[in-house]
Order: sequence, then structure tokens, then C-alpha cells
Amino acid sequence: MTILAEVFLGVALLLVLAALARLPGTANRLVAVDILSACALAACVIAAARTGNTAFLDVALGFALIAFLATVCWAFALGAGAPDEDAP
Amino acid sequence: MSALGWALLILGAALLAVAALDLLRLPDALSRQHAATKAATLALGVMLAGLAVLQPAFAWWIRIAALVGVLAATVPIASHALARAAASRPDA
Repeated sequence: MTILAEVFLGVALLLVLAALARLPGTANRLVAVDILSACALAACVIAAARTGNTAFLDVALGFALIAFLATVCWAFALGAGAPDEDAP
Repeated sequence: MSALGWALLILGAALLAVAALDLLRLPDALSRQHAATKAATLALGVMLAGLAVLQPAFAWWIRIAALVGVLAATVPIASHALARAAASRPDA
């Protein structure tokens, strides 16, 4: 039964990827990337629970700080007028 | 205790799936952020609580407390900055 945690995490990842592919505009995609980083943190927590190794929580701590910095930087870039078309 | 810990981990993963479903169901960027960020924060908190139940040792609890503190301090700030930037655009 404990495999349900990974199953729900996989469902969440698929839904986030569908949102990234389908939603229009930069702001929507930044929200989706924010939830994607939350999925990565959840994967770290599940890996720590599976292996019993505290190093995964240290990884999660560092990733939480980097995801915060990335989101704030993208938010200021968006506010400063990043282009809104779909070109790469 | 192990069953309770895994139940909390599964509940957190299901809440994360609900947060991802919000992205597809809600109409615009601000309401997506409003719902999805709160649901994702709650999901991570519930999962970390489940991990604290699973591993009753100080080396785990201090890391879990640090992670919960960092998340509680940074996620609202990042969400607020992103919502301000999205609201200042005409297409939001």
C-alpha cells in the first residue's frame, strides 16, 4: 500500500507537465514550475522515507532555497517585462 | 506508528496531485497561484509530518524542523512576488 505515495506523486508530475504544455503565457508557466519544484521536494521526502538516509533531507533543504531564489528572480523578470510569446 | 507515518505521506502526495489538478481546472493565473501554492505547501507539511512520525530520532527532527521553517518563510514570499508580477501584466 505504501507505493500509493509514489503513484500520487507520478500523477501530480503528469498533471504539472500537462499544464506546462497546455497553459498559455509566461505567468501560468511560472506557477506550473513552482508546483514542479514542490513535486521535486516531495520526491526528496519520499526518498528519505524509503532509504532511511538523512542526506535526502539536506538535498531537499538546499533545493528549497534554490527554488525560492529561482521563483523570485523569474517573478522580477516577469514584472520587468519578459516577452509573453511562445518563442524559446 | 509506521502505518500512521505512511498514511500521512500518502495523504501529502494526494494533496500535491490536487494542487497539480488546480493548475488545469482554474480559469486564470492568479487563481491558479492562489489555490495551487497553498495546497502544495500543505502537502509538503503533511509529508514532512509523516516522515517525523516514521523516523523518531533527533537527527531527523532537526532537519525536518529546518525544512518546515524554510518552506514557511520562503513559499509565501515567492508566491507574493510572482502574484504581483502576474497581476501587473495586462493578460493576467
